[in-house]
Amino acid sequence: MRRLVYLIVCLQVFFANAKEIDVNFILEKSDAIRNPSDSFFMEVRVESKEESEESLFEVYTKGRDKTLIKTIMPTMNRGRNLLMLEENMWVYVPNLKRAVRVSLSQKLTGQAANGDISRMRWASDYEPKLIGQDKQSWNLFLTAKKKGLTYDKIRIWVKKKNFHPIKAEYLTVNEKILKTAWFDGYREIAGGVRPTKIQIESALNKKDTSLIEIKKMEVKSFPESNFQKDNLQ
Amino acid sequence: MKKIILLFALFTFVTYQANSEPVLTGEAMFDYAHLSKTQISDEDDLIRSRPSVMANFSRSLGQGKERLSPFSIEGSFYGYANFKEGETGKSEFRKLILNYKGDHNVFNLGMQSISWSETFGVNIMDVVNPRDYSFYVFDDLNMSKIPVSIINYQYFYNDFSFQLIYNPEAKFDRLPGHGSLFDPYAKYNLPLEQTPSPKAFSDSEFGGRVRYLFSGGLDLGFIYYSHFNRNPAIYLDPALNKLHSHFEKVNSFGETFSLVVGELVLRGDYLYTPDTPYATNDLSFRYSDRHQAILGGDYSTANGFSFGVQLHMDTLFDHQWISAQLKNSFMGETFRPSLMIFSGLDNQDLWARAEFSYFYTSSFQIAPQYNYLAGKSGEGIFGEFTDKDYYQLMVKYLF
Repeated sequence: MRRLVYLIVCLQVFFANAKEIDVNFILEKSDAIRNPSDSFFMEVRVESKEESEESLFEVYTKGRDKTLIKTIMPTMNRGRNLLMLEENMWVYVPNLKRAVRVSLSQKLTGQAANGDISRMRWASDYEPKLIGQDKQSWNLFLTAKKKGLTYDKIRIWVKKKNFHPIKAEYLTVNEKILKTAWFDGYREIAGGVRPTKIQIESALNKKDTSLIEIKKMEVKSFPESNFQKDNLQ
Repeated sequence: MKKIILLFALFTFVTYQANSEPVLTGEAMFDYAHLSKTQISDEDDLIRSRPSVMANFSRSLGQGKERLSPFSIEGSFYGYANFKEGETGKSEFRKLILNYKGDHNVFNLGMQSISWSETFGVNIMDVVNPRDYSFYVFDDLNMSKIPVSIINYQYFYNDFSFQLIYNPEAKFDRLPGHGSLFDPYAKYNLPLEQTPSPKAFSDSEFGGRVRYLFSGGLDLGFIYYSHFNRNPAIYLDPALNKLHSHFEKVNSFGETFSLVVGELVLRGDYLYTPDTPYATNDLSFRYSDRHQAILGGDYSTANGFSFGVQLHMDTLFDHQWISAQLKNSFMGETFRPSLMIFSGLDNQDLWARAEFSYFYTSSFQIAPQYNYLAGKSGEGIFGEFTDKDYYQLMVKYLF
């Protein structure tokens, strides 16, 4: 009898936990798919329908809130480097030879916002909520924990099998879709299988699309001084 | 000349020691500027006709390309020829530094320019570099800064930073050529005498800045710098019947801030320089406590549009000005028109600049611009240049 009671209790606990999936855990695991470590380097190519030439960026990330993006191509924008420290951003203006404080709304190129490359960790910026699931994926709704983020709300789909992000809808405060992103091109890079292609489509004009391709990703450490506006050149 | 040879020798030595790939970028430019209303003759109204090259190079030292090296050498070399009759070409290093980048410490040793201003245009906080007034205030501000050979140390810890600067060999501002088109003192037709050049080490300049980025996004900085006055005080010496440009050591104290509120960026600069030497409108020599302040805000959107307004105040001139800048980009950022207006609030100064920059290819830029100037003589800062409106054409090839 005692054994039966024990079994019933264990089964109740098991099913109760199964119902309450830890959404923070899903988000953190999904973040870990996109970010190999606390400090890493990426070479990113962005191809946009509205831009005549493709763009090439070098991205240096340290910790959860420090990102330096160096513009390599196109030549006309070369040197227009961006520094993001938490929700603060500076851009280096080559012809002024100085870093200028800017708002986070500054776009990188085409449909790609700075946040699409610089803020690849959702768990620290957003409060997740499970809003649906099927056999294949979880559907989470993310609400910004702080002001000044590129997107106020995000709806994401994460594969149950391996926590791979599949799709994200970037929303306004009023939950209107701004852009949709598809995470694709999964391959072995920087010690794990990660998405190397992000296709972004504007909700206003479906023809306005940008393809973000991660050409190179390496775990690397950088000095703190790299992430200072006075060294943005 | 000796300095240039020494710098070249240093550069050759350190680059020989390096085993990484050097990075070379730059631009070849042709710059043509001409008064739009005839003043003297078509030839004499030519402001500049100048092909130039700016070459920027950097090379990390000691280790391979794939590994981070704390040492690097960086430089910019600028040279131009002059097609205007009677004017010669020039070549100079705009930057030549040996750089050390540690985790929390950065050393930049050598010829460089320092930017401390948060606001645009006049850049009152940039007191480390003297100014080249050859083209009065109309030159690109970055190019009007005269590079100085300094020891520049920066320390960073989280959101706090401080910077120390020592310049053993101070320089004075470079004044407009006597009788040149943009010489505000041309009408006096008197010889100009200058304070003897500063002595190395005994006339050194020094100071620094402390900065803190608060969690709410307020970026606050305080500066102190001991330097020669950056405003040329040109007065009339009645005994000798000569104009005299006076420079002496002054101390500047300042504060800068920037804050982002949604799409709006607020920025401000304030500089206090007690006992600044200056010349009055009737060319008498005086001292005054100088307060300069610029307060502004700019709004920008994701599609490349930006609009900014700034309020300028300077107690030395006892005037206020307002400036506005409108920028946008079209056709995949290849067409970048801009309009800048600088206008006196209690004086008749007006400077309006319209530029239509177009990138024919990503490397080839054409930028025609028109500058309208107006003011009242003896009042404000553009009074002497009324009717000296000019057009300028810049053709650039980026490599």
